[in-house]
Amino acid sequence: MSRASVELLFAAALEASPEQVEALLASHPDQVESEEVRRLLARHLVLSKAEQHAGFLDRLDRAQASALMVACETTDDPKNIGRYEIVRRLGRGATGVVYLARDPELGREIAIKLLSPSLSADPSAVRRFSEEARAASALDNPHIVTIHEIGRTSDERLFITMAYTPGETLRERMSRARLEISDVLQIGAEIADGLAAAHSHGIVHRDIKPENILLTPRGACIVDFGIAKIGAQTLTNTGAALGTAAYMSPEQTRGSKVDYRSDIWSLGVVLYEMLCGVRPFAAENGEAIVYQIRHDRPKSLAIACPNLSSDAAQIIERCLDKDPTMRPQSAADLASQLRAPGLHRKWLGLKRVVPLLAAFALVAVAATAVMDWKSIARTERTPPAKRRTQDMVAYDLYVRGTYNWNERTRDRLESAISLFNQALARDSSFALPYAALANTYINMSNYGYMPWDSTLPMATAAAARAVRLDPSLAEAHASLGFLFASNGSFEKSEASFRRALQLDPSAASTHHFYSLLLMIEGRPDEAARENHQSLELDPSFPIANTNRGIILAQQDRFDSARVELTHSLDLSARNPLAHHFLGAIDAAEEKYAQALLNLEDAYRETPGYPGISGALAYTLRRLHRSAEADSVVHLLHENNGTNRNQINLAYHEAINGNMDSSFAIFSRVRLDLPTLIGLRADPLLRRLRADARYPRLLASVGLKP
Amino acid sequence: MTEHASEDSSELPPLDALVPRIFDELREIARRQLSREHDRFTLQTTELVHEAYLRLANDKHVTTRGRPYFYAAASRAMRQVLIEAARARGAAKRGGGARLITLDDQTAAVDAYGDELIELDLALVELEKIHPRHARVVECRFFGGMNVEDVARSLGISPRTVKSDWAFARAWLFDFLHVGPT
Repeated sequence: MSRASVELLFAAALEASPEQVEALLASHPDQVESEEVRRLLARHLVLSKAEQHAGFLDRLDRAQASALMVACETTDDPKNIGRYEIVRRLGRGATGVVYLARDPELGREIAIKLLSPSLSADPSAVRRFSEEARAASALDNPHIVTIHEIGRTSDERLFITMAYTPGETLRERMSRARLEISDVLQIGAEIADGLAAAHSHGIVHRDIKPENILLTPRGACIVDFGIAKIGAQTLTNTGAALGTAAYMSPEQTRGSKVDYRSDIWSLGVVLYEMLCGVRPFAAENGEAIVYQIRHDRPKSLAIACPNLSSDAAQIIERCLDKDPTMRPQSAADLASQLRAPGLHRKWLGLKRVVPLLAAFALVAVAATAVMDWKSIARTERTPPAKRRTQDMVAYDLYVRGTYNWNERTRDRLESAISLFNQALARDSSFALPYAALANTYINMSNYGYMPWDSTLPMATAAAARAVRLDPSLAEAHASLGFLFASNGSFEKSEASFRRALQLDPSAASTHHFYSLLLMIEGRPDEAARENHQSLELDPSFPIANTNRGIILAQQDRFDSARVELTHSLDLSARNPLAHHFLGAIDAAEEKYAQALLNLEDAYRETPGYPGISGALAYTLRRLHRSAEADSVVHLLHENNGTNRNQINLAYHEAINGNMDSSFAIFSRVRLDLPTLIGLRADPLLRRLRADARYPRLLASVGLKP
Repeated sequence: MTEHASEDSSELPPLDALVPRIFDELREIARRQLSREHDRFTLQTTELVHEAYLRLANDKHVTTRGRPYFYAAASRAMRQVLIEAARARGAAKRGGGARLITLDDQTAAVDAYGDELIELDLALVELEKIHPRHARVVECRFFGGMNVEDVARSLGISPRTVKSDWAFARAWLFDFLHVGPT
């Protein structure tokens, strides 16, 4: 009791005038407490007034703190590890220290890696690491370092003994001198050989970098299999915990599940660095590097390493494709490509431009090949004036943008924006990317990644530009329709969609957007019809499949809705909206444990989407996990200034049956498009829809119940 | 049902499991920087914490609890890293310090600073017993280098509370360190 009242009294006194302070202290029932507060207030006054104390606790003296760290960095090397006698330290890495040691029993020299204490603690992580390290070692591949033993020191630290081969790491080699192109390709092929052996047994390295490659007389050798896993501590982890950001694949930086293609990316980074002497993603700090990895194309090898043949450049640049499915699909393939005869020789034809263009065309063809052919056909049908571009690269960028746009996660939408902009940088009269850009900006706000105020001007400008460039482009009018629907101009929206469908009735996205408008207008049959049309035209359009599930949920056909939503997750695994509605249906049917899995997935990707946090908090409470529920709601209260958080609070109130406060909030926020869809369809809002105030709420934005 | 931001200290999320892991990370990152550029090494607390976040961003504890929580845990880990360094330095000094990197004229100042940090740490331990939330605010601001808004977000309290806690803690610690426990 005393602790709290002292704290409260002090806080109150801080904000009071001197006379009030006296009154406060005098009226406090406990004199000991009021005396303590009086003393602390006096100290506070001294600290804020007196010059000589201005620095007290002001901030850490970084220079001194650094010197302290330097001074204590003595790390006594042990004399023995297990039965081995330490000869000398070979090096120190992020995961531990490597020593040259002697095995007195066998009389041979070995290398020992002593792992840092944090990597030795978790028994299950250690077990997984041991399994993987042993499995990789058992492959007996000349390009994977053989492990002899995994043991523990007397103070429980983990160590690994390995064959010792005199040599140097690739990092050391690179810092000595630039490698010849033929050596780079040879080393790359050998690393790929080692990876191929591991991958064929389901082992992913996750931390390929020059420090983990040894150059021995027998060739390049990969070390540290499994280490990334031990640092990760969880099975789903990717090893980002240990990897230097610079070599991580985009999926690794996101913490997504990674497979062998992540190693192929990292090898691409290593190859690039060997050739150019700089890394492809070399920003100043970790965060900026991660941004580059996710969004930027590295400087073209044709420029960064002009002596490299375009074939070789293409192979390496393909390793660095943001989309794992676009990378070489096996390390074995990559190894044989890197060994192709004549690869290291520069093309000696008339002009370098010719093979380069050929390479671009190839990439474009490869990019389109993985897309559903139907959606390509959709964009290629009836080409009027300026919808198409002569620039293959611009077209390729546009197609890849739409591919990213299909998944509504933040990073995908950001990539889409970047790709559309890159396409426009190449051909500014290309109308389609403008329309797509408008849609993407609208989605950025719909999913709560950016406030509407900042996307509205950009979306408007992009849609207007698309219409100006090509007034007969259906996609441009559909973007306008989507924009109007999102901005509450429902009649204008309807007109734009009709115009778009008149121009081209075969665009699946137009039908999809139109069905959203019909949903919020309370025309469910027509909405279902348009949705059906869009799926007829493009059965694998992920978000239209999701929307089909939502329409079914609105009709209380939960089982069919589940089938459709699950199907849309098959088409695109990272689909927060599908997870959200699956979770909401589960929760409405009181299947809370199942609901939680879906809602957590949705919340992780798009915490700002209307209703996700409310459904999550509700489900957590039902599972008696109130503390977590509270913290979800607490975050909304903390930042309750945004429209989205207000909406989410209103949802939360409604789901919990607090209709008065829910309607009170709803009546003062901007009801955006996803919110209106939620009001119409969210299974957890059935009680709200039954309330007499619901029709009035809809009428306030010009909608019929 | 309306939720109110409770600002009782008992409501603060526990800093349990994450701290030791971040501790190892921070020390490792600092050491790596140190081995690269020990001539001009300056501890960048916020950057260290940030890098540790990137490295641990896949840890389940981190993802479920979120970034603000991580920063609070990292501030405590930073405190431990520095106190460990200060203690190691003190022990080496008492043991003759033969293996120490010589810092010449700087040495005395560094030692003094290390002693100050140890004293502050002891005072914080006392403050934490009575006013745990206030001690956490000090950790975040002083060791984590965070601003008022970030501290508020990390601890789930309002910026106003952060400010008054900070004033209270500073006064309390000053009192403790200069006058002694009462």
